[in-house]
Amino acid sequence: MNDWEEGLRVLMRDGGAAPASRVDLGRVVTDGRRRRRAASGAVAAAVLALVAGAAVALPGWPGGEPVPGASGAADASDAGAGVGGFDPVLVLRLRPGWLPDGVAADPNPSLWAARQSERYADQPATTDFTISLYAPGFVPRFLDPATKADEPAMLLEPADSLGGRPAQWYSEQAHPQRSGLLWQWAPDAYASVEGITPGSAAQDRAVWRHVAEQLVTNARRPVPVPGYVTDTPAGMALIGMDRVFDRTRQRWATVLVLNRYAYVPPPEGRPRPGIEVTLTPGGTAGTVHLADHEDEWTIDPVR
Amino acid sequence: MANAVEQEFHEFVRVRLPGLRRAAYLLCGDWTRGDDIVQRALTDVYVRWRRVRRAENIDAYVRTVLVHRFIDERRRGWSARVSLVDRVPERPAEDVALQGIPAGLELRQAMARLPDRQRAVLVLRFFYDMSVEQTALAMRCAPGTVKSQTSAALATMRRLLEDTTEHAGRAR
Repeated sequence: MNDWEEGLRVLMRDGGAAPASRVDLGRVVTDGRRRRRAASGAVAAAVLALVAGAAVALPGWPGGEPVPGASGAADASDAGAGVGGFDPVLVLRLRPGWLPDGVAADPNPSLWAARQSERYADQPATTDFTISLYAPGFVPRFLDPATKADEPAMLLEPADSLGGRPAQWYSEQAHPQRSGLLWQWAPDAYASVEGITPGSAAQDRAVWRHVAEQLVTNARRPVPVPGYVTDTPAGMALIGMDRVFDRTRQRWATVLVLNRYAYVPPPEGRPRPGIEVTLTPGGTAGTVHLADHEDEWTIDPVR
Repeated sequence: MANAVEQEFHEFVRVRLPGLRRAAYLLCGDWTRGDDIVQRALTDVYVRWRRVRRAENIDAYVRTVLVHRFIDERRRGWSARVSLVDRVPERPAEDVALQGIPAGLELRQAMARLPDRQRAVLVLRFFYDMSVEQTALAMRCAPGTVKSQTSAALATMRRLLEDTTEHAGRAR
């Protein structure tokens, strides 16, 4: 370490006297205990809902389908309530108006308050792409200054506008064969289509552009889940739903994520803030795992 | 038993609080906001204390929580919100010149120009003396990313601080 760096280190540690502390240890303990109780309550509620097999509505769920506006932007206008982002979460707003021949939707869409995605592929998966819709105010992780350093480096190029709104081509620097188109489907609201086709880079771009031009952003496609959390901790709401393949039980499980704020989820395998409740359907067993709690619960088989 | 565990937490906070507060101050450049970050980070740690206290390196865990609290709060636009405080914010401390670095206020201003994650890397590496690998674990990224962010942050800091020195020199 050179002198300059050593100087920086000393300076950081010797920055003058600190003012009196505002850290309130009593409040740390009170708030901490409240959170522990709330987390335990969420487990109990989740277990109850799963065992009963009842599709109990989440708080804040209006009961019916969302009422979108003409542009789709109105879908997100009720996002202010609760944690932000799309609300309700379990409704797909996107529907492709055009797909290449032989391509079909994957039955497991990823639904988050901040972003919803659906994957499309043909049988040999030579064409394989994902369409994502971001709620207003949320951006892809590779554009977000807070997360872009953790993401693969991207090459961005200007593209012709779509519907009068800005658009960009992008590709991963290390894997340029996987490319995408990013555009704004509503003011301050992004959408993307990215993946691969058997064609050239130019053909890929033509496909992404056609998909984007024909994309419907005010669809109403409720996505069923095998159980709901009936009583969320104060200030928390459902912010995400993912499907994961449970290798032990050889079946798909549904993961519900609860949190106090919405965020664009990190790639699989990285930590996701909030409480995660994993529901394994089929009437055999269910696991409730709280990512934000020190313990883990496995519930008895559903009888 | 429960009391003993609780007592342990209180003791841990008593000893570590000054360091945590200074780290938070370096991260956000403001003692009041820094204390808010420490408050929230300690609440996170308290919730999991029974498990945390068995960790091999409790300090590393707590620093990780602190840094992520800072990044999370910034990401959520916390810094843009107005918060009421019960006392007037502190004045900048008297600057001290150190090995050619114009200290205090300039350091804080230069740090404030760095992206959040670069600032966090500098605090972990230079304030806490953590290795590249330990910092990578805390930041949940690759060691290569830590190296590149440290290098970029140092280059920016050096340029900003040297500019300040130059301007100060010309003004004299």
